[in-house]
Amino acid sequence: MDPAEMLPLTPAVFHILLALAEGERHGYAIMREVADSTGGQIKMGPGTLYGTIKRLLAAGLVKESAERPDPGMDDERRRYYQLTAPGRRVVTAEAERLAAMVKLAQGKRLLGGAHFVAYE
Amino acid sequence: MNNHPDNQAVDRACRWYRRLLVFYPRAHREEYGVAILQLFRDQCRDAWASGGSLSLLALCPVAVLDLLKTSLWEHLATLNRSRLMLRSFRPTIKPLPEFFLLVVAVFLPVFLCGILITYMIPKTYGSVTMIRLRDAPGSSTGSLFDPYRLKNAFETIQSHEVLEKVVKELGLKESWGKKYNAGQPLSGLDIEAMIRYRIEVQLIHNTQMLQITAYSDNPGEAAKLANGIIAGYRACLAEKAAMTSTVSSGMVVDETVDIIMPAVPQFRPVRPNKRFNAVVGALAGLMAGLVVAPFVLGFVGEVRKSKVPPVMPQNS
Repeated sequence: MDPAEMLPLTPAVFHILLALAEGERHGYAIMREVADSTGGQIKMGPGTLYGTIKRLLAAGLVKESAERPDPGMDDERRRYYQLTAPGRRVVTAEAERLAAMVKLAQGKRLLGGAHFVAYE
Repeated sequence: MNNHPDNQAVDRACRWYRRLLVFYPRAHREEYGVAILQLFRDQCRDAWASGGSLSLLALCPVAVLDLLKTSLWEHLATLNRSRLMLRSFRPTIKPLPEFFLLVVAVFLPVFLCGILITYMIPKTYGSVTMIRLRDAPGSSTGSLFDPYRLKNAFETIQSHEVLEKVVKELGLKESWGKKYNAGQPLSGLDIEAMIRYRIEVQLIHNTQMLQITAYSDNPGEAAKLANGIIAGYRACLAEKAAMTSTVSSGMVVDETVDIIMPAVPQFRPVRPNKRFNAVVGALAGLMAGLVVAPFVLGFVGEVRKSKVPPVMPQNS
């Protein structure tokens, strides 16, 4: 599967994949991570989150995790998700694509220095 | 682990949210319903912990809108399960006609439903009679412009005293018994109640006149009822006049009734109002079309833009 075929990703998909890049998480943790990492700009409702996850599962970009990080500390009904190898390639490709766009904007003096990273 | 004991508000919100899950397609609900509900519960707990009931109230509409929006997505995705199907579903017409066609596609069923319902509603005919009250010859009492006397006449017309005469005169116990009670005679009081429901008495402002409108599913019956009420009222006044002439004390009856306009059968039904219903149906259809069309076009546009996997718009 060529990751480029799946680009560009929508913000919801990109942020879910980013949240899972650091390790497996359950739905609410993904939601919190997305809200925290975007400063509250992207807030997904339960329906949006699980609808997107359903499609990511179907596309093979994420998978449900059989193991639980700490079963004793969590509700056993929670479902954990993790990135698959294709999912990691796709999110990496999307990040590179965005980085290239930022670089392009910087080259045209639309953005500040290299430290300035923006994603819309 | 549950570190947040649920309070009643959170429980109540979750109960309502769980009921709304029925909007999702069955397969999606069975697969993700529990997880979605649990996520909502987590959100509610956080909202309650951070800002109490106000935060919870702010969360609920957002979550419900998200649910309704994504339920539509899921239904449409169920209909268009594969990308191939999505491609074949893609219309070849341009956006403006697309929008127009969608509006028409929603408008027509709503409008036709309105028309269908209008034709299914039983017809009701109205018949109007008008009377004028005037002093009886030789009356010694005050003017009939006295509003209390007009109101008295208004109440008397709808009283048991008058209506029992109407029931008897028109033989309503039997005829309405056949019509409404499987052939069994109805009691007088039941019929009087039915008559009160079917008549409308109006005082005509700044006059001595009253207007009585009777309604029925039969034009002739409506007219008979209206005229019968006037006849009953006149008979009642005559009885009282006779009593006052034989009894030395008591209420003096000093008014008579002129019929200004007798009731005649009207063959144009007053209900349903076809023109009004058609206009309401058209407006409702247009509104529904204008609301639904952008929503569907937005969905189709998102699907076209998206690559695999088809994803949903962010929840802002």
